[in-house]
This record gives sequence, C-alpha cells and structure tokens, in this order.
Amino acid sequence: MDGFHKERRSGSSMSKMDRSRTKSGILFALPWIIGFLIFSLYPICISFYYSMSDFNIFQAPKWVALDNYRELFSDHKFYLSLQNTLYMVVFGTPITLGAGLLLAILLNQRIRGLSVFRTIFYLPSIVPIVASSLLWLWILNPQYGLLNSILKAVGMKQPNWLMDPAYTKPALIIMGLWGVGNTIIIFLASLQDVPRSLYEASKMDGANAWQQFIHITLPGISSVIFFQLIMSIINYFQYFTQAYLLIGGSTGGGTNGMSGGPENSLLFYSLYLFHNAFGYFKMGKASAMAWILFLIIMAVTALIFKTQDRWVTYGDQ
Amino acid sequence: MRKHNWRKMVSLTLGFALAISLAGCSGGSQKKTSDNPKSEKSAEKKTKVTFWYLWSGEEGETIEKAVQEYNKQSDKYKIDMLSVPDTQKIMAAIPAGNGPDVSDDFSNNVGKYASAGILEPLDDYISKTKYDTDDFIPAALDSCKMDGKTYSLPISMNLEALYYNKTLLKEAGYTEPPKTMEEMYEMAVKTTKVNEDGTLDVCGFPDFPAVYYLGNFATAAGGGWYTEDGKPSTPDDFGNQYALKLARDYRTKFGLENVIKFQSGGKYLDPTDPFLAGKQVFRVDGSWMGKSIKETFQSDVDYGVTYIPYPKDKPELKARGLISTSTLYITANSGNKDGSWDFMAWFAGKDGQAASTIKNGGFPSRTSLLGDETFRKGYDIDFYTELAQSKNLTFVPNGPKNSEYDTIVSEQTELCLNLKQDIETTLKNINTKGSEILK
Amino acid sequence: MVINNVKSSVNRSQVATRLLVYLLVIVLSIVFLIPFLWLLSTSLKTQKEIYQFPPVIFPYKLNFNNYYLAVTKMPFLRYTVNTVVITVLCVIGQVISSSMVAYSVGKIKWKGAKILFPFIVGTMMIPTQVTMIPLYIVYTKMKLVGSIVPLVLPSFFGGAYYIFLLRQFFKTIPDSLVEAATIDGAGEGRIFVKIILPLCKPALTTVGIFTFLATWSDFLGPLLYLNKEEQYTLSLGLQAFMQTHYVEWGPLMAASAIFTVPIIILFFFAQSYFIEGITVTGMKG
Repeated sequence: MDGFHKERRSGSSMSKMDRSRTKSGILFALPWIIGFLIFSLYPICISFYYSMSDFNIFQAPKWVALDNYRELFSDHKFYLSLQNTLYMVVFGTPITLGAGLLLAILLNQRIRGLSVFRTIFYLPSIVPIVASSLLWLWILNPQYGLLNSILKAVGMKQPNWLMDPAYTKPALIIMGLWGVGNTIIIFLASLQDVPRSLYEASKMDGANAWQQFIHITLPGISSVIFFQLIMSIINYFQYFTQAYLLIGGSTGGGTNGMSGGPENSLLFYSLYLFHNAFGYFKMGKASAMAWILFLIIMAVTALIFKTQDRWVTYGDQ
Repeated sequence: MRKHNWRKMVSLTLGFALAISLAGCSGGSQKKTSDNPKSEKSAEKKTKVTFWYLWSGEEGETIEKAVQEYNKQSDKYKIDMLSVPDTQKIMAAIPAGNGPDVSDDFSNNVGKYASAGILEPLDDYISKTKYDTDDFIPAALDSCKMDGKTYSLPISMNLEALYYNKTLLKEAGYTEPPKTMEEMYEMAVKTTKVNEDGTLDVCGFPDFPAVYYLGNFATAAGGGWYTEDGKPSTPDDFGNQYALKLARDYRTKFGLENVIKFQSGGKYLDPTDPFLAGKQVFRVDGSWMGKSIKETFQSDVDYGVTYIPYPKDKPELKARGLISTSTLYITANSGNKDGSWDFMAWFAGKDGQAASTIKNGGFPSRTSLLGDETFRKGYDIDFYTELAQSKNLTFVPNGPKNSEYDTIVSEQTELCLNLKQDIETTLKNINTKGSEILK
Repeated sequence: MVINNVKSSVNRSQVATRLLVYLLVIVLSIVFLIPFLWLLSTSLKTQKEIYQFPPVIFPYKLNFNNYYLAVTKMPFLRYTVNTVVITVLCVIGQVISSSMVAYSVGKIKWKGAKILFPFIVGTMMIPTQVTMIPLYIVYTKMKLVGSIVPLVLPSFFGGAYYIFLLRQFFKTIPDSLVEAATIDGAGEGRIFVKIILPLCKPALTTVGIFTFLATWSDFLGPLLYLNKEEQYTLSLGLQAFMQTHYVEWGPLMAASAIFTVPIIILFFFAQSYFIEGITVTGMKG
C-alpha cells in the first residue's frame, strides 16, 4: 500500500473513499459489464449446456451429461491436436515474442525515418491473408521456393516445408515471424515509455548496454511483456486460421475438405474443434472441446498471473 | 488522439445512437436494383422465396441472370437472391430461423444435411407435380438420395477423366493414350524426367493434386471406399489393393521424398499447377479442366482426355467412374416450400440448367441437355457425353457419417502411400474403424 | 593528444554501431517488404505473366488492367464506403469503451478490480466457433441481423484484448500523479480524461490502429450479419475473384492492393501520435 492510504487510515473516511472508488470502478467498467451480460453470457452458458448434449446444430440438443467429455478422452485425435497446439505455444511464443522485442529495440535506436521502417515491418500483417497464402506456397515450395533456394545456396538441407510432417509446424512458425508487426508496435510503444533519464543516470554510473537492458529496459517493459506473453499463449492455444489456409492451399482441401495436414501434423485443437462443429455437425463434442481448452488456458494463465508479482513492475517501482 | 471532455462524450454517444438507428433503417430499406420492370407490376401478388448461393463474381452473375429469367416467367413467386460465399452463414442462419428457402450445395453433403434434418424431402413434390426425373442421368439423381428418398435435385455433374500431355507422351514415343492401367503405368515411368539430385522435373504419374487420383483409380479398378449399400470397403477389395499398389510402386521407384516434393510444389489450378506448366504427364481431373487450361490460364499445353484406365484383365470395367453433383435443396424450415419447389424444379429443369450450369461451363445433369447448342460448344464435349452415358458410372451412397468415414480413409491411405503402413493393414483398418462409424 | 585519440576511437565505435543498426534494419525491411512487393508485382502482371513458373519478379510492362477489373467487378465504391463506416464506428467505440474499462481495472483502487480483470481476460479463452451460433441467435431475437449493428455494437462495450493492453499501459503511470490530482480535488472522470489519456497516446493509437485493421479485414462478421449485397464490405467483395475451380489472382491482388493502401496511409499518419524518443511518464515531479 502506498503512503497516502496509510496516512488516511481513520475509520469512516477510508470506507467513504472506498465506496466512492467502488462506485467509480463499476461505472467505468460498466460498458464491458453490460456488453458481457447482453452478448456473452447467453452464448457462454448455452455452449456449456451444449457441451453436455448431443447436438447437431439444427435439431434440439439431447442431454448426454459427460459423454462428450468421455468420448474426447478416448479420442486419439484429441490428444494429437492438443500436442500440436502445445508445440506452437511452447515454441511459437518465445520465438515470436523474442523476435518482436529484438526488432522493437532495433527500431528504438533513434533511427531516422522511423515511421517508414515501422510501417514496413507492419506491412505483412496488413496484406490480406487470402493473398499472402499463395505467396507462402511459393516461398515454401520445396523445389523452387525462395527459402529452400537460400538453404541450398548455403549448403544446408532443404526440407519439404509443406508436406513433411516434421517440418510443417516449423514452417508455420516461420510464416508467423512475418506477422510480428503487431508485437513490434506494442513493444515499441512501451519501450518509448521507459524514461530516458534512467538510462542517462545509469550510464553515468558506468553501466553498459547489457546491464541497462537487464536492469532498466526489461523491468520497464515488464508489464507489457506480461501482456504479450498471456496474449501470445491464448492466441497460440486457439491457433487456427493460418493452418486452415495453408492446408487448403497445399492439398486442395482433402477429400472432404477437412484435412489436418500431412499426417495430421497441422491438426490443431481449434481446427479439430472446427471440424467437429461444422464438418461433422458434432457441436456438442466441439463445445466440450471448447470448455476443456478454456480450463487449460485458464490454468496456464492463472499460473503466470501468480508469478506476476515476482517479475512484473508497474509505475513508480 | 482526441481530447475527451464530457461534452464530447455525450455528443459522441448521441452520434452513436444516431448511427445505429440509421444503420438499422438503411439495412431494411435497400432494394435489389436489378428487378425487371415487368415483374414489378405484379410484385404484390407474388410471394417471396429467398435463394442463397455459393457462387460469386462472374459465375454468380450468370446465376443472377438465370434467376431473373425465372422471375420473369413466374406469376406466383419472386426470388430474392444473395451470394453467400461461405456455408458458415447458412449453418448459423438456419437454426435461428433466418435461413434461406433454397440453397445450393454438393451431393457428398446430402447425407450429413439430411440426417441433421435440414433438407426437405422432395418425393412428394415430385409425384404431386409429376416432375420429369427420368431425364436425369441416373447416377446424378441417385447421388441426391439417402435411404431411397430424394432430398435434393442435381443441377450439374462432376465427371472425371484422365488428362494427358500429348507432347510429353510423343517425346517418349507414344502416340495413343493408354487404355489399361498397365499401359498407363509403363508410360508414366518412361516419361518421368528426373533431375540430377533425384527430384522430379516431370512427373509421369498423376500424383498431383495430392492423392486426388486414388479414389478414381480404385473405382476404375472395380473398387472404391464404399460398398454399394454404403458400408466400408472390405479388406480384400481388389480395386483398392490394385490402386494402392500402383501408387506405391511408382513412389518406391522414384523415391517417396521426390514424389512428395513434386506434389507440394504447386497449388491446384493456379500458376504453380504442374500440368499447366507442362511438367505433369497424366492428371485425373474433371470436365472443367479443358476450359481452365485453354481459357482461364491460356496455357499452351497440348492435352488430351481419355477414360481412366482399367486393369488389363478386366475390360468390363471400362469407364467405371465416380460422379458427384452440385445440388439445390429446400430447407426444412422454409416458410415458402411451394415457391421453393417451383423455383428449384425450374432451375434443375432444362431451361434452368441451360441458363446456369451450361452458361458457366459446367456439365448438365439431364440427358436431354447433352445435345444443347451452347453445351456442345464447350471443351471435350464428345468425350464427356459418351462418358456420361457409360453404364459403369457410380456414386457414393449418402449416409449421415460419411464425412467421418472419409477422414479415416484419408488418414489410412496417406499412411499407406507414404510407405509407412502396408496395404493389408491399411485396408483392414479402414474396414474396422469404418464399421464403427458406418453402422 | 591522448584525449583526441580517445575521442576519435569512441566516435568510431559509435559510428560502427550506428552503421550496423542501419544495415540490419534495411536488410530486415527488405525481408518484410516481400509480401507486399509481391502483391504489387502480381497485380501489375498480365494473365500469362502470372502463370509463369518460376515466377518473374518484375513484370515487363506495368499493366493496370487488373486494377480496372478489380474496381469494376464489384461495386467497389459502395463496398469501400460500407467498410469505412463500420470501421470508423468501431474504432471510436473501441477506443472510448476499452480505455474506460481499462482505467477501472487498472488504475482505480477498488476491490472489484482484482476479480473483474482476470474475468475479462478469461472471456478471451473460449473459442469463437462455439459461441458464434448462439450469439447469432441473440442478435436474431433482437432483430438486428441484416444490419451493421452486430458488427459495430460490441465495440462500444469494450474488447478484452484492448482492455488488457490499455490496462498494462495505464498501470505504468505512477500512482503519485493520480494521488496528486486527487488531493487537488479531481474526481475519477477528470483524472481519466486530463491525466491518463494524454499520457497513453501511443497505446490509444495502437488500439485504434489494431481495431481499424481487425474491422477492415473482418470476413466472418460481415458474412454472418449482412443480408444484402449493397451492405457488403470489401473483405466479402474479395470473394468475387474466387470462382469454383480457380482464383483470379491478377484482379484479386489488385483489389487487395487497393484494400491495403488506406491502412498503410492511416498507419503512417497515425505515427505522429506516437511519441518519438521523448518520454512523458514520470517527467513531472
């Protein structure tokens, strides 16, 4: 607690202050609360009900209690999709966040024409996905593609990024690096919030660039790192669109339009959920998947939240 | 950014409220400006039928003109149409009661949709109006049924054949396309060109797009993934074994990795399509291929088209092929079923298909239209007309769980073709796992 | 003499570092420009050139036919207007509402914040595939399907992602500033408008830009809720180039290029609101 509160600790005035603060707190949060009640509460509750029903979207749901969950736990594709997704969470998160941070730091070096460069780095995120999916098929083409041509030139192995189950996910991570524009912008904004005075003062104390990074920069942007970390994890757990487009592109959609990529290496959790919901009309099973995912993400996020105090600093700290 | 003081906030809120009400109003008052003036006169007497379709762009425009033709000649019904490029919209709207009266889809979804109760059964309408179903190519109409009941009408047919590159075949000394599978395999091997590092420059086998050809080959060899009564194929199915072995032999010969690299090197019907670039000798594809090659892509590939070959000691299987169709259906909770039927009947009839399917370069589902003038100006028409009348045409029997079974087949055959699982195990798995689903 | 040498060697390493930095940035820029340049180059090619493989990087002549096709194939102007209206409304709504809620869970010291904030974040964890249809039904009951309201309304009630982002930025503002203002008698509203918002311009601009981009390219929303082609947005319009058996890449790329240009312009100019190099937080005593 800060000093201000301690001073004022005298019975009635504290609770009055508390009450008015609570009122303001609720008032400012009102938009979200109302929005939630109108738009989210019903869909969320009903999806929970669906998760315990046999529901094909069009006919009335039939209550089956925990059958959907039981079915999932004995479904090998459930575990496979979870595994594939965890791969992206565990590898994708540090790689994209790290790259985003590094590039943001690079751009933060008082470069002339910063606006231009920042725009350039953001550009790939703006190109419509449907247009860039073709580009990626060309770049990742194992025989003529740009990436493998470069690898050939430096004498390295040229894997089949599109069809080799061991390389399809790394291919997605590489593609994901082009989308770090978002991350760069957010980190850049937070980097610029770290007071220059701190750097100048530490320089006079003889600190080098690395020390400055560890002791000033990182703590200074830790609140945003926290944000990026959680958002990245939530996003990767729900990874869908890129995989969906890449699969559609390289295999022509599969026999029933519901492929999970080469040997299901790209069968991510959300993709499998989508298959169940709109492909097999098993909305009950899909809803059960959604709730399991919710619990998993919640657990992971709660864990990170708990560690918050240890490494995230705000404001004056 | 903007400085927010309270006055600005209030005015913004009012502005928002205004915008919302305007948007709400404008949403309802838009009219389709392409109405024919004649039909406007009797607009009040006509009841409305909403038609949502998947086509868009140029093809969508052809559909629009066809619908307008219908509107002109109907005194009772007026079609309200909308191009909806993605089925998710339909799947959200129907349960909410907002859905269309009529929509289009494909025959392989009939089983799924019918068992979900979305499709209005049509046999009563057919008998009530004495609708001419004899004119339909038999397999086409059958593809729209489930358990003997008709759930949709076919408006176009997908027929598949073997396309080949005449130039590449001639280089290897072949002047005639293959008739038997064995001949084709021999030609495929002879015409394959390998690079220094083993990768394929020209692929003889129809191994692109992906493993699209497998089902066709299995069918042509007398097999197929479904038995006639919609059950999973048996482990000892000759046709399936034959097709799998053929593909595996080619891959073993030229190296699995090289074949897959070739396969992943392109996207179907697009700049990177190897057949269009003259790098693929054989290709299994559909009747739209001719137009795509010559008009859309203006490729100078000298191509030919022939029947998918049969195994040499089974000539009775000649021209055995799998067909599928594009279909129209009436939603079960439609508010205007009579109007929907009237429209659908016209659209799937001679005039309707002439105005839509044929104009879009597709293959009609009615025998009588095989002589249509516009149709005959298309590509490879003589060949496909003959193919359409083959006695060996077959279709996939519709059932509620076909999608799930198809996925199993894909996964198992993928393992088999990737040489990670032998043929015997593959076919056994398909049968065992499939039987759990296709009860 | 010695001092001069030391000075010049320090300068040399500084120059070297700056050169390295610029070099890196330029190389990376080229890498990041690839998608967009390729988009442009394809849009300027003739049909034959597009279908050449391996692909040509620069077309022979600049062919603008694709742009003509792109603009005439679909009601481009109308779709653009529709898209702009929806997007602008969403940006306004999102910036206002999200910053308000972020202030509540980030800066106002009330007990509910500890519960509300994680709850808000929690709502982001439910995949949209399962809430999509029930939400559609909610809108149907409210008779709002077939208008742009379902596309715009949610923005005015805050988005969890933006709330989270802004909250983190708000929290970096020292409490001392807020306390000072409170002592001076300012209410929460005043503090919000006069202190918090001005200090977080980069973050607010970021929210604005992200909302703009998300709404501009949203496909599923307009697909579900718009029922007349006159209301369609640009992202739906791009579908016009995807036929049953092929994609018209030339016009599609041209349309995508036109689609992308406003965002680039917006982004470029919005950057003046990013505070460059000068920090404001903590500057005041």
